[in-house]
Amino acid sequence: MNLLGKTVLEIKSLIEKKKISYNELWEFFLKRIKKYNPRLNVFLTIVDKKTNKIPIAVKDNFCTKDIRTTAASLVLDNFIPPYESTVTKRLIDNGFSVIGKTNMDAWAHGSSTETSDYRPTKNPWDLERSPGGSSGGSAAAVISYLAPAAIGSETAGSIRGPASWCGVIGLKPTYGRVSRYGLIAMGSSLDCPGPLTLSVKDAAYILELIAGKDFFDATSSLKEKEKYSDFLNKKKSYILGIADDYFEGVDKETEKKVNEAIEIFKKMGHRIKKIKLLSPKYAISVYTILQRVEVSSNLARYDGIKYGNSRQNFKEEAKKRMMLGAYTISFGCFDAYYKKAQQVRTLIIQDFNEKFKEVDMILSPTMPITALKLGEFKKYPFFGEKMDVLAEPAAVAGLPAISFPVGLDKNNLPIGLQLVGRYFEEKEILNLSYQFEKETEFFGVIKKGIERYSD
Amino acid sequence: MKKKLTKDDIYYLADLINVSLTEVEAESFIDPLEKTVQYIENLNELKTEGVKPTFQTTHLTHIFFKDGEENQRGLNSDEVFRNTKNKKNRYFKIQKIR
Repeated sequence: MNLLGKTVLEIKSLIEKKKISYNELWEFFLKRIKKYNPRLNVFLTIVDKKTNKIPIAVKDNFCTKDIRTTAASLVLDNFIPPYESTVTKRLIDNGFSVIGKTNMDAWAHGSSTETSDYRPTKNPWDLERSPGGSSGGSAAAVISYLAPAAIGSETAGSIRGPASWCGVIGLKPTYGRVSRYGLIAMGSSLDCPGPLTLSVKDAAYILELIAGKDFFDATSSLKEKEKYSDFLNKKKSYILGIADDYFEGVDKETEKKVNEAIEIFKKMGHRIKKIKLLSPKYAISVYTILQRVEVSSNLARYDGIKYGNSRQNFKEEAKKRMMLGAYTISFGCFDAYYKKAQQVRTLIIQDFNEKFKEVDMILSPTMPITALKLGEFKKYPFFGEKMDVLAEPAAVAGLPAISFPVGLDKNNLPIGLQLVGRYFEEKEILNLSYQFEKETEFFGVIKKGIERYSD
Repeated sequence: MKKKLTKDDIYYLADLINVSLTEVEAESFIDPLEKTVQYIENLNELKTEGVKPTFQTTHLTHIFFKDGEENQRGLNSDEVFRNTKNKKNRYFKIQKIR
């Protein structure tokens, strides 16, 4: 049986009907990993141990018991976690098993997977290009079909960005919807684990498994998780907000494809409403300050004493971030930067809440441009933040969002569209994405991507 | 607030985060850090007088374990020492406090 491109739920059904065995399933993926990983550099650690579970790829900042976890930094080169993150624990308890730990920007600091201490991941659509980041390895694993689905994490854009640049579905849940326990912390008030998948159904299914209260993470929400999968088939019409500021500086081809998708949404019976949102450029600043402060605090624990190697193994990006974090809360800058940023964060939240009285979701491109060539990011300071400009407002506010493909540009690179929803309304975002998937099959983007890696 | 950073500032910040920098590194960090600081100044375009800061978005407060509940996160000593080279008997060896 040709398994190429089968979704998690399709695989599950094939196993249940005994059309394939777990052994065949693992042989299939391990063989592909052996063939393609040297080219793509998707996995930092491969778990060559077959189980009677469905293989899944997991970003290397989730602690996996007895499986090396590096956060793509030499500081943790030899770290073997003695405990399991809640996300991976819940997956293991529900029929999944980790097939490999995926490459990422070191400590998730970046938007290109180039700051990894283990060389960048290549974009499966064009090996000269970046897959986006920081969950670049996870997105690349899915579109090259080295795993049927992957787990990533997002602080601001790290799931949606690579999903957009690799042409897969990437879901960033509401902050607190999914436990952060065992996720190597970047910005603790922002970090969200989430799935990268080939279908909306898979995203809903995986979210259902990993979401929900976890007493090991005091910031995880007490709200009951929902039956995201069941909700997909409800026929619903939505009002979608569009803000001009979210199209500013966006590449023409990207804009065109997103506009074509908007026309399809209209034809499907959804209403489009122009809205005015606070310019996303302020979210960049809020994010830059808060995230760096949280980074400087979170990375303080890596002293090489109880585990890991010495702090001299931190590279340029981590050092710069920690130093800027230290700067904004010293030199008498606390009120001017840190407090100010937290206040503007309030303004951003109020702005969203106000607009969500008029519209159900906000629609925009995910990224301003398609995948950049490797090496481009380094040329401009602060470039990663600007690349993530459209993802940052929702991240700062803690809102849920999704990215899915809406076409290819002239270089055959995927273009992503994002939907941002109200707090804890993942089910609505997924419902609309699923409607769009049924209507368009994402213009064959996912299929084309996988077919590049057939056999 | 300082807008211009000197090499001494960079060394001071490096010391705060407990990493050492080479001279070349320190030099090379001035420009990107200054550029970042200049960018974030755009927040001053927004009035925030009287606006409450948002330190967390979940609105959760007072999340406690129940009394007497078993802490399942506990690790045994083999697990605790598994990843270290700095061990003597059942203790971690640490650096002298400066």
